[in-house]
Amino acid sequence: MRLTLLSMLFISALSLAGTKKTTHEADGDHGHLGHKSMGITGEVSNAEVLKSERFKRLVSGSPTYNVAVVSVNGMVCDFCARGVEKTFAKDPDVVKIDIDLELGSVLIAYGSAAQPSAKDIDNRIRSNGLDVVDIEIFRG
Amino acid sequence: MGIFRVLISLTILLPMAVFARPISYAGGYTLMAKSDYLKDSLYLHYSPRANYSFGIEKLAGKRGMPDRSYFRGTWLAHRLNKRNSQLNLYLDGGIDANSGEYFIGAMGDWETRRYFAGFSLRKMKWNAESFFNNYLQMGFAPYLGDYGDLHSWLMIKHKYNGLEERYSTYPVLRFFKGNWFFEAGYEKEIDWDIHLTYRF
Repeated sequence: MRLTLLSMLFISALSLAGTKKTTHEADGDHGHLGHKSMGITGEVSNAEVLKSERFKRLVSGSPTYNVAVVSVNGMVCDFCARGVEKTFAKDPDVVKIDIDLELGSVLIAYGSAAQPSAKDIDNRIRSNGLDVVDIEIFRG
Repeated sequence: MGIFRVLISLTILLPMAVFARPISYAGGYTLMAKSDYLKDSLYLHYSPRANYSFGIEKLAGKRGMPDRSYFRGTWLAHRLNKRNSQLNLYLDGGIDANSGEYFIGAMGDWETRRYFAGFSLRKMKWNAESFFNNYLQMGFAPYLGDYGDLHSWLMIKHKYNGLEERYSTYPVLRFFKGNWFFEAGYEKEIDWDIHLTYRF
């Protein structure tokens, strides 16, 4: 009986997971893009990320922006990535954050007046116990 | 014989070695509630850095075992981050100031987005008895959720109850979404094994 209950719980969860959203706004001004790969799979270059729908959605509504594209090792689960989002969401210069678990990448959109540094981004991600592989900052 | 069986199992599973992480991100708090055949417990911990945490656990004993209040600490002894996986080894311990009774343990985990395996070895002194409480746990995610989705895992847990010198193996379901983590397993002899975690 209880195993049946567990099975029903799991099936309900699967059904719930099937109702995916495309966009989700985080607290306050820290928006969050859709939690999808936006058609990007496997190893991609930062140049490809810039052409992606994911990137376009990140910067939509911002005529000028600075975006950091960060490749991260060890970001294999939602729980692992949660700290990354919280760390950057505390920064008033950060406008939006997008995390893609499939690609192991983090996109961080800063306001146009912000001066994000690769070293600072690296330190913040490492403070979450993850390893930064590559950082590129694109200034709009 | 019991220890031999655990060692054999670990030899097989250690290279694949997860579960709710006992350390949060730097500056993060975690509230963990657990219930199993031996205890109900509530554990609040703080992680000043990503490699250690400390906190207080209030534990209500079952089966005649007394209540305890542990001051606990966990240290991330080793982490290996790869593009598609993460491997962790933790050491932890706790002491009850009133009785002087304690536990020490080691935990390990390995996970990808699809698979994981984990173990926990814990030596306890509780109610003047010394015993081991160990488990192995492995499973897979039937679908890969994106960041922010509900994530679900099907798992199996093999547990050694040193107090009663008994092994049990049972299915476990794990879910997490956002800051919430929930895990439930059931076995006829030991009843429910439940774990709820909230990070903030």
